[in-house]
Amino acid sequence: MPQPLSRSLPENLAYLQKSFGASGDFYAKELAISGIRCAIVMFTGLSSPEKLCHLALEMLDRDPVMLGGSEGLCDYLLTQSLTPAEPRPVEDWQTFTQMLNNGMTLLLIDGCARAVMFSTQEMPQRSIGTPSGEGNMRGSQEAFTELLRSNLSLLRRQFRSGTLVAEIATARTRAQTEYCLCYDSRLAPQETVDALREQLAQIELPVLLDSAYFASFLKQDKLNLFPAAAYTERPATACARLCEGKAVVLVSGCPYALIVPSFFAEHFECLDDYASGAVFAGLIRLLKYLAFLLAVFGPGLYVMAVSFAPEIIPVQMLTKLARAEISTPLPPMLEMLCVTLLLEIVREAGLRAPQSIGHTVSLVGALILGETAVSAGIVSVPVLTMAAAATIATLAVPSLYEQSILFRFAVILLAGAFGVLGVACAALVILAMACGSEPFGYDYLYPLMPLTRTTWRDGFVRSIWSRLAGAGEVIGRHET
Amino acid sequence: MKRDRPSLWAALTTGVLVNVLLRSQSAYWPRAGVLAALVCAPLLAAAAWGFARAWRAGQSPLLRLLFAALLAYSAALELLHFWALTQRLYTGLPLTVVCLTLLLPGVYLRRVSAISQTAHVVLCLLLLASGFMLLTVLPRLRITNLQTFALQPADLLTAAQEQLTLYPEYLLPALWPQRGRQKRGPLLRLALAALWFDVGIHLVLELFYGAALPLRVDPVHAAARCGALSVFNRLESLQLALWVMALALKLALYFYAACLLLGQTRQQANAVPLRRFPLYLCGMWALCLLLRRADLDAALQTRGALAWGFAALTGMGGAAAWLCRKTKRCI
Repeated sequence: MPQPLSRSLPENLAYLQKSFGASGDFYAKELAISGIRCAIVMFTGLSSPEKLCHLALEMLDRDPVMLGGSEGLCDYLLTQSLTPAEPRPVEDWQTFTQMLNNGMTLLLIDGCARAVMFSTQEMPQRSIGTPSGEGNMRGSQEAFTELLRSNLSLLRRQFRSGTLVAEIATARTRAQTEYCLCYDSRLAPQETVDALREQLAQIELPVLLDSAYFASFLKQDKLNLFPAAAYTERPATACARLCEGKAVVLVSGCPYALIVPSFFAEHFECLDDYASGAVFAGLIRLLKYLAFLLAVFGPGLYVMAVSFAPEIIPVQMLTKLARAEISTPLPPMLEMLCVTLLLEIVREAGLRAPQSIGHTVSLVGALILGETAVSAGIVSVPVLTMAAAATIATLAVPSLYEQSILFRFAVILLAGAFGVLGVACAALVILAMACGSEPFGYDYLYPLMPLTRTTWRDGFVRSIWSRLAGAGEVIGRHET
Repeated sequence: MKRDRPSLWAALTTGVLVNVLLRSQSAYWPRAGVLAALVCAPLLAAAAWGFARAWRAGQSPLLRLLFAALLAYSAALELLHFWALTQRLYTGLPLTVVCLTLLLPGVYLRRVSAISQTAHVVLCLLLLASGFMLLTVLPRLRITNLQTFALQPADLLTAAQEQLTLYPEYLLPALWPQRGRQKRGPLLRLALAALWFDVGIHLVLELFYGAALPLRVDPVHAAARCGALSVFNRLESLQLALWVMALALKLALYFYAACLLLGQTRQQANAVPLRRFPLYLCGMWALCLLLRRADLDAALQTRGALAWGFAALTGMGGAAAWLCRKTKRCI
């Protein structure tokens, strides 16, 4: 049961002083309106006193004398006054604190156990920029920012239907972080939305700094490495997913929206697919699938072929590979593991290092280490080529980066240890993981498997717009 | 797109097809196989149907235990059978490695939906790879290799004997009778798919080997070795990888069925708890070690006899239960 506000202004102010008095950004000022003692309270970094003065206080000065005392003043401000006060009063300290943290200004009135809120938020924020992690040549170039309300407005600007529902709630975290569940009430399946809402409400976290924190809780099988949700920093992509009947979760302070349910095929789609021609888009999509396979299985298959099944390699190529391998001291599996690990270290160092030396790290890693390792005969050129090709292929499907790397290591280890059996085992494990994923009861491999018309309409390739528009894929429809 | 009671027929079909591909020696001449299949397919389907009816009517804890034991024995034989194949191909591959690589995927194949969906993909790949293999060996298939000698009753008997092997896949549908949208006569379809695929493979092998067909060891694998591609010389690795996947899926299906039989609760009916997996892995490994010196051909024949015996026992149990019920009603 939340603690209610007191009717006495000094008591309320004492409570606030005790709670926030030590904070430098806490601002409380006593004043009189129509002869009644009041106090305005705000956080200066989140609210603007000038805005408050301009919006409310000047107007209140001109208002007539109140006849109903403190309660009358409160009712007048809530229902009759021209000042832009929020229509609901605050009656308990929990909501009071929450609203203060949301950037609201609250007016406490002596003799009244309710506070009036004024929307005077003025939070410093990063301007809306272009997406840094989702490269697209066509379409909107806006990206989400850290401010929840701002992100919501970006989304609503793209999705102008009245059926867009944005449910704002506070996560069960110590920091009381807000999140917003957005969906199209007409397209999104009700049971999916209800299940998602319930799951999100039950999640308890010490801190919520990114929408990805939710994803692990939404996974049915915790051993499964495939992601339970997709992420986007583009309001346009979020809007497209809403049109498919999916739900979007925005978290305050995070510029990435979480999309649920998410399917495997979505990682191979981008906005450019739909802006360019169907044939070209289909070709690019197939290339992305091939790139994913190369990223995961390429190095492992190389190790298997060289170590266990050289007979499958054509003689000319085999001669070259043998010549290269004979001069290196390590067996192919260890060689491949070392090179792949080194490439990952270089990538991680380039990513985490300060920007000014990031390029140097990449240069040293890629050129000097690679070149010297080959000249010294520590690693062979074919191994380096295969590892580099796999690393580049990983970047073609950036949203499955983590999975590609983990799977690649597993495939190399199993292929190096058990040969064909190891590769088959790894392939089946990966396949079983993908098939075993059930985001909210849906097939993770939809629309790729089972093979239907949809597979060719917007799966491995995409059909022309006139057909796509006619079909309008929405989850929850055409259920088997 | 929504998963609603996934069907396990693809997994069962994959299971029966992989039996054909992993056969170490050809069993009969295709002409005899065609004639025998006409009789054997309905017979197998009828046996499976009768078993399912009897199982539902009169299953008991003892029968459930026996069924689970049959599945465990079959799984061990499949592992040993495959180990024998890998021994011929890669000398010195330990049994532990075979057990590990074939049973490990079971961790992620604990859910019915995972088995079902994976089976669809593996079946698709298996058929594609078989078709691909056929294409690559097409230039080596000779019509003149077809044998023209008159069939003897013994040939027909051999083919019928081979085709009437009652694999556990024919008995498993009794455990999940109402899963997914079922087509008409699913058991007959399963038997027909298995037998016609078997006959088809035998026909290809006869076109490939001619009169030497009965003498070849691992004939399908040896045929795959001759397939040539411009980039990769041989296809046996691709075939072997797919057979491993299909076999692992089959073993995961047996594991799921055994867990269902050994008292899985209704809530757990759609997935096997992870805690049972280490026991399964160690148990199968121990069973394989125990049976590793056994004569595999004899053991496979015993498995067939045991399966028929178990089906007959269940049939009798079901009939007795049905009679009891009728008698009670009359009284």
